[in-house]
Amino acid sequence: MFKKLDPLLHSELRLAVMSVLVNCEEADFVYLRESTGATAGNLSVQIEKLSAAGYISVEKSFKGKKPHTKCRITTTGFKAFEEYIEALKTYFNR
Amino acid sequence: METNNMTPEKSLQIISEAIAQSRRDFEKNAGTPLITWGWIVLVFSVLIWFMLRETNDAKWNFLWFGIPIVGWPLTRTLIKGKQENTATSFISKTVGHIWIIYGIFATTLATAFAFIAPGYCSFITAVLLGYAATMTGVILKNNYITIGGIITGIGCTIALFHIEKWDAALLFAIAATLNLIIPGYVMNKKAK
Repeated sequence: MFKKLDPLLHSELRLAVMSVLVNCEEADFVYLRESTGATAGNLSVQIEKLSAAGYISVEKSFKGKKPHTKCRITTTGFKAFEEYIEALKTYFNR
Repeated sequence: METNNMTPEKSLQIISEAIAQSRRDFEKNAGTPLITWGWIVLVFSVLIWFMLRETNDAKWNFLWFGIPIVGWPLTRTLIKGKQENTATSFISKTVGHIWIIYGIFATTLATAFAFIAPGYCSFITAVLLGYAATMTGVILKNNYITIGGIITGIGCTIALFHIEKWDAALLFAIAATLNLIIPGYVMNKKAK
């Protein structure tokens, strides 16, 4: 029986962002944009969705005169990611 | 990029690529601090060894404190200059902590030994260097660094019985070459 995949994570960009953040304690916006290959606009929207769900925390500050956005995965995000992996396994354990 | 018709295979691919990418990114930046610290240690060790031999004055051991004084700002400047966009992985943070702890312990012990047994400053710091390198190698799954660290730790302990005290400074220079400079260049070459 296939388990339902979390719709918030079952999207290419959001899953890519979460996969990067699971491996990193924190990552800044530019790093996420380069490692996912997304456009800044699309990435901002998806980060906002993940943040609204409580999966990641976003910290905005300034590095010199440039705005600097740092993202971190939250405990809720970790749990959701783990559950997503568990659900994903059901599609391969046949 | 937004789609919910993703296959499980595609999901798995995205996750695997992200993991591989973050490891590559860490390796890309990991060699430079090792090389920087390695050369600073090497230059100071040879200088201290030379001065100790020439003057037979243990006060030259205080020059060891020059290593962190020069090393910290230089490494920070070099890393900051190279990293426009950053991510801190658990691996990079753990490896960073190992070397910070090494720095604190090495400085503390070297200070104590500078007063009670100046000839042994570099022995103890070299053995600790081997320990820190071994831990780093195990975490990075890098056999070269792990074996280099073990050889340093055991070799320096054996050398304690056979080397004249001032020559121990040279031992630290060899340890820096084996554990910092060569692995640093190897890691940078692999990351290219």
